[in-house]
Amino acid sequence: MTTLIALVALAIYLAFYFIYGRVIRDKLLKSKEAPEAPSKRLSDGVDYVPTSKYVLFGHHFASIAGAGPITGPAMAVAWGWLPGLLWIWLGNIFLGAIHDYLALAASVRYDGRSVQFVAQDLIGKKAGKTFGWFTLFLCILVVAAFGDIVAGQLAADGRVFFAFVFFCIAAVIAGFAMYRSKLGLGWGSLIGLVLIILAFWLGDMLPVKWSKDTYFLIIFVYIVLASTLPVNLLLQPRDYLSSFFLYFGLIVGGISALISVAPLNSIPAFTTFSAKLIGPAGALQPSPFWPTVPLIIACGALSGFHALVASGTSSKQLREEKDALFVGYGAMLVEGFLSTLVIIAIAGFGAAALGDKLMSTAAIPRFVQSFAQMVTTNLPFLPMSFMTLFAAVWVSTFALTTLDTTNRLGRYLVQEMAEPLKEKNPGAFKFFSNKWVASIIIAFVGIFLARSGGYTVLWPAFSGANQLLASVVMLTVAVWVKKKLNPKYVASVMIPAVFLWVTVTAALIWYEIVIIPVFFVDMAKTLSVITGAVVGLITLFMLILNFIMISSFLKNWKVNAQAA
Amino acid sequence: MPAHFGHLLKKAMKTFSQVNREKATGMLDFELKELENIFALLILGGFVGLPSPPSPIAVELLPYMEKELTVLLARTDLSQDPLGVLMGMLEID
Repeated sequence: MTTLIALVALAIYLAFYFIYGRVIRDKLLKSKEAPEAPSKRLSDGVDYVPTSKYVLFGHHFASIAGAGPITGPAMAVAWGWLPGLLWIWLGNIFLGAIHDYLALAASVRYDGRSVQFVAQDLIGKKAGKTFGWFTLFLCILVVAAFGDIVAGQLAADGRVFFAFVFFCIAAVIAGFAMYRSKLGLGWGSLIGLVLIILAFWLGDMLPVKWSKDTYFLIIFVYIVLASTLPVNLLLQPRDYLSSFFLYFGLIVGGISALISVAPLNSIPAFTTFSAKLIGPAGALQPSPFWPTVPLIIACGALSGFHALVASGTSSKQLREEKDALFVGYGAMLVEGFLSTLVIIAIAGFGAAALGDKLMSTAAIPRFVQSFAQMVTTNLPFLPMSFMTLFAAVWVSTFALTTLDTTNRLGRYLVQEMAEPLKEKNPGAFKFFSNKWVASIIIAFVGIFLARSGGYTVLWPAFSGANQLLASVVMLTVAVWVKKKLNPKYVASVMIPAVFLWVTVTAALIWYEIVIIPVFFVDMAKTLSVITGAVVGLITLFMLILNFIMISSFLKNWKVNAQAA
Repeated sequence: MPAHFGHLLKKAMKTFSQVNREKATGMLDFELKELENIFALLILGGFVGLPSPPSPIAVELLPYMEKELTVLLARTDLSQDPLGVLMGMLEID
């Protein structure tokens, strides 16, 4: 059964890539007749460099595949394995991959500018500003959601903490070997890989049992330090080395899923339409599959972040616009396959790994144990204890990477947004533009929310913000198609864009009405009340921005229609 | 056939190596670009109202600054739009 699901996933993705993707490329974008790509036209050897599509695919995929495509599907199995799987497949081919592909293509036609700029040009300045605010909120919610996920994983498996610490030390040493010695990248990488194995061994030898609160404190200090340290010291070599986790995880997971004959009987195909999935720990609320599914499954099916990634560096380096299909659409499909593997692992091997506790176990440990069980069963030379440690370090490293890079981005945004204070209030400007202050603000709010909220509340809030950003991008792209491309094909973007916008908006309204009030049931619980107020306000503010954005969009759409 | 397969494998390894090389230096490239921006501003800042270095020095340096001038113009264009570059580089997801 697992083989069948993996093969069906591959068949669907390949078929849509070659049929639907090519129709979009040839009929909608007409990429073969497109003007010369900016990488050639504006080639400067620095920002604009024509690059092989395979190399760009590697960069792009590494940037979009983190802990996100693992966490969402691991949670979504509460509805049964089938609804989540269908959302991953259908969402991916009709929403996520189209979103990434067209955002990349639009950015190419706009000389490599970001999709934020495109939105500003097509929908108006409000859309551009909305992007900035969404991203800032996303940063806070990412720190909160991933902070709780990582702290939970570290507390669940005592071996992970020191494995991660030694992995960071390995990254610093490898970085030194790569950048500051004569050894170069090859030997530096080899040293790094040997040290990673050593880090796993040491982590296994030195298990610690600390409380989740202790880990929150450690994570707070870590992200403030890691996001303010020079990039060449930790961030760059660590991100580089951690990509090997992704390759290894995808290869062993993919092979195991393809050769396994296990039935998907650890969980039912469908449990209930309103599974208890979202809400504060101990007070999970029945969450209807529609509209709340995008609050759970984000990155494996669709992610607004991807549009920013696509329009950042990839669009400046595409050799030809037609390569955008392979890079944008293709990379998203591979990410969908990663999420499919997560569902296969839990549905096929979850019961063998966790028994009756499968659904009561938190999402990440659920994935870690099931994934390890799947690999060990099918590739017996990889022992269970190593695979559980590997999977736990893999997800934790990706989540921690996300945490400190997000904190770094949030810091830049706080500093940027403090700019208007420069003349009005120089004292406040000096305070907020200080890198330590800006970094601590994001980390403090994020970790505070993580400690008092829990990922079952914060992940949906983060996911909702992410999907809202994606819906803004889809609407922007729809205007682009109508205004500058082929209006005949606007439905292929407009229908998914409207469906997505309605779904996410309904989901966030549901979240505001059903989930937020749960925090205010007992007013004596001050922390819970503060968390509810902060998350509720962030969600409300995003909803208001969303409606402002949609009114700008409608105005623009109408003007265009009249002009046409 | 084996030769073709060998060639394909070699090409795949080369691509993998290039991806890794660029991944290992992307962030450092970004910092280098920032330093180049500052250098270009110091030398060509007169264009944007910053005090220039003494004219003879500026004129003497000008022929060597052709690439910087091109990059400066592109950067001026992209400077209002920093989010995409950061997101492309920082791995958030």
